[in-house]
Amino acid sequence: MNTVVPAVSVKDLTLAYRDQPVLWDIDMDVPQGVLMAIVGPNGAGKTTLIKAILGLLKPSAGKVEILGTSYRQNRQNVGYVPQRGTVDWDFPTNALDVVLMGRYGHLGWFRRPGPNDRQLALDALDQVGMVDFADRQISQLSGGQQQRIFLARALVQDAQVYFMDEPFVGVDAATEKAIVQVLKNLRERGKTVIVVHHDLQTLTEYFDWAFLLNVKQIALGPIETVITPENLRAAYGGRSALFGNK
Amino acid sequence: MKFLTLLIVGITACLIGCADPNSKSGKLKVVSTTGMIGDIVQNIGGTDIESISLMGPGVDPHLYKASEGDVKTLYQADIIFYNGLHLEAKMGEIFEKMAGRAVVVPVSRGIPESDLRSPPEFKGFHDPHVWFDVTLWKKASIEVEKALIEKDPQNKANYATRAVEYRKKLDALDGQVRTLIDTVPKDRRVLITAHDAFGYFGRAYGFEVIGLQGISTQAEAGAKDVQALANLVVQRKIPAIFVESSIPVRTIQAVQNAAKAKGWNVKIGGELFSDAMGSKGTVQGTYVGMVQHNVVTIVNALSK
Amino acid sequence: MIEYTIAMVMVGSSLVGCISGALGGFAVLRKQSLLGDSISHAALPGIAIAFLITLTKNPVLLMAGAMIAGWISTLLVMAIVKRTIVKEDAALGMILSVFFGFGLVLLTIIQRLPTSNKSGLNHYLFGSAATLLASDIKLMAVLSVITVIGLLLFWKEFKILSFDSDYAISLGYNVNHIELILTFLTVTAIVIGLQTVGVILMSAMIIAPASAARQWTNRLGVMIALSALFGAISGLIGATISSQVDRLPTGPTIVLVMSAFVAISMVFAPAHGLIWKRNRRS
Repeated sequence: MNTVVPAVSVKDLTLAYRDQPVLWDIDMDVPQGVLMAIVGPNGAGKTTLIKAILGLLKPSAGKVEILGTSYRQNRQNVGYVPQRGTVDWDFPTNALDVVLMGRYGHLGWFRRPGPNDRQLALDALDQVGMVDFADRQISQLSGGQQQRIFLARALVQDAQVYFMDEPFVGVDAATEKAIVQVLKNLRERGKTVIVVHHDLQTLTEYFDWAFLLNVKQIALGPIETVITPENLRAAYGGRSALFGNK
Repeated sequence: MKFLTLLIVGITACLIGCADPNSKSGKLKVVSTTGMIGDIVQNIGGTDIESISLMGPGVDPHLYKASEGDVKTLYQADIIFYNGLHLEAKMGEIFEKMAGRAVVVPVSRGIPESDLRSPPEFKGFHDPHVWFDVTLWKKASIEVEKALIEKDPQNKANYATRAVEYRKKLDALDGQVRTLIDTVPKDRRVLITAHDAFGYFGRAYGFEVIGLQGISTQAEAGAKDVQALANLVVQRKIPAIFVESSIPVRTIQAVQNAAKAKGWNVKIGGELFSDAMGSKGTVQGTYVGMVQHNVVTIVNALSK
Repeated sequence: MIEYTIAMVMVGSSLVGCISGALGGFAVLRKQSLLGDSISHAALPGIAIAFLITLTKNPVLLMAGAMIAGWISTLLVMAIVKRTIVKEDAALGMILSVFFGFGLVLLTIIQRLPTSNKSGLNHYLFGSAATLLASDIKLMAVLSVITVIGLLLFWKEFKILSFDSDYAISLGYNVNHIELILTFLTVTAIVIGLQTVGVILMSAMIIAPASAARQWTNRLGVMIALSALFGAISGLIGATISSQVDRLPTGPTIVLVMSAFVAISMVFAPAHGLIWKRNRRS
């Protein structure tokens, strides 16, 4: 595999929702093997950016490449951990079943998960410390436990690039530590991890790269170069300076 | 202020004057509900009236709901004839409303109560299907004649003459029916149809009559009723059962299939016109033609 | 030995209950309970137009008309939700009323057509289970088999679509295709039921067994199977009761039995039932 190709390459990405720009002219090249945070104020377009890259939202303009080719050809290589709130946790299923869904991409349309897939799912659960909860109904899990099985679901795909949307919101401290450890392990193995992150305090401790944006991009690169007072001011202060009052 | 009042009064007067239908074509506008009533009206009224029937061939009067267009037609009528006895079950309110504007006549009122059937399953109401006893329908035609003459005395002679002609035709028809029925052996005179429309027919001409759905098609046939009727057909070895033009075929088919399952191959004897006549322009599209068709069909199927 | 007519009604009602229960499970989980109502009401103009075009009451043709209309209505709802600011529940309500109103207008027009033999379309409003013919049952059986095969084939796709459609897209699924297949099967299930319980009550057949089943289990497979079972049993019991009592319409009886299932489940089911919850608290 070509290690020079950026993990994710975004050019001129623009997305408008009912005449309001949500993302404007984003250029982003993320090298492989980094643990990168996407940060910005509320409404900056962070979740939208991830969804646009994954093809969940249609951009008004721009191009996205994963590992040098289109996303469509590379789906096997991408793992996605959506926000916990996007799913109804009263759905009748257990933790193992949810993680097994990560194998559906490999199985294709008509095949059912087999014993091999079950084992992989149990291994993934083990990685996040949830193997004892395999049979548990998901509505009986705490926020942190739910987040872990979401992560396990992405892990079981054994992807090259991972996208996560606010995985640390509403989880207990132990879970947060455990997840960060998993992410760092992924990076050690050469994977690329891109995380929408809400908490500026923990940025430098958890991540090595950052992408700061507020509808338009402000800065991209190693943490120290991105998280500077000028950049933060540009992102978090005086929003109206960019596009007029909302 | 005075001018405005005058203007309003003047316009209203014009509108009232213009709304009088008589002043337009000069002919009476007569609206009937069922085609059978329309048949009487056309035969007696002839060219002296304009006749409209609301319910055409294949229409079920038990279920018929008047549309806006119908209401408009009724509104412009001079005389409205309907069957009464709750045949037009969903139009009762409309007749009440029209009573102020037009002459509204339930033709069944010409039939004395002693002549009406009150089947026990129908709880205090009368069977409305009076047109199948030709002698009773004669009495209904007298009501029509009376109403036409009262509203339009100028043409009294015409109406009276035509009425006599019509009643002669009905007498002849009655005679024909009796002759035909005599050819059916007595033990075969069982008429099974989709609903209890032929009670008067049975009483007048000596038939036992059984319907699947009861007096009105408003009630859905229950599985028990279907099975019970099928059992009866098998038990008494009935050769034929009949479908009706205004009721879906499958109800009778269900009875036939159930009987077949018990080993008795009952035939569908043909289609009878029960609550509506045949297509306009055909013989069965007239009252006389309709009754003849029914009797011939019944007699053919049962005398084999 | 069961009498022929009653046997027909029992088989037909059980089939309807089974299939609508199974597919209703997914509709309820996806919070699309109103969808069953919308599709069944929308089927009315389809039946009417099919009759107007062919002028026969061949049930296959009428059902085809119902399917096409149900189909079009669902596509319209999806289009409205995608392209306008109107949300799904409002879109379903709108389409339901418009199509149903149109259907009633068509029925009124049909009732005055100068060809005999046309009434009986009214029976699709409330169903006429008592007059199910063997040919109807055969058609229903074929459609039911198609539905079951579809469910088995696409089980995991339906599961992931219902639980997390965004994730499904990220895996490479064309979620629209899965949705289309599920909707097709749902429309089929509804059309099967129209002759038995009619347009107006069909939505209960979609919602009730699934709601009852949900109370008893936390596993999807069990829930769908239970829902099918509850539906089938309700159909069977409803048909049996209405066949023993004079002039008791079958469709509404089935729905009443189903409602009893729901009530019992809500009170007595372990884990989710009210009595259980009360005991746990004390």
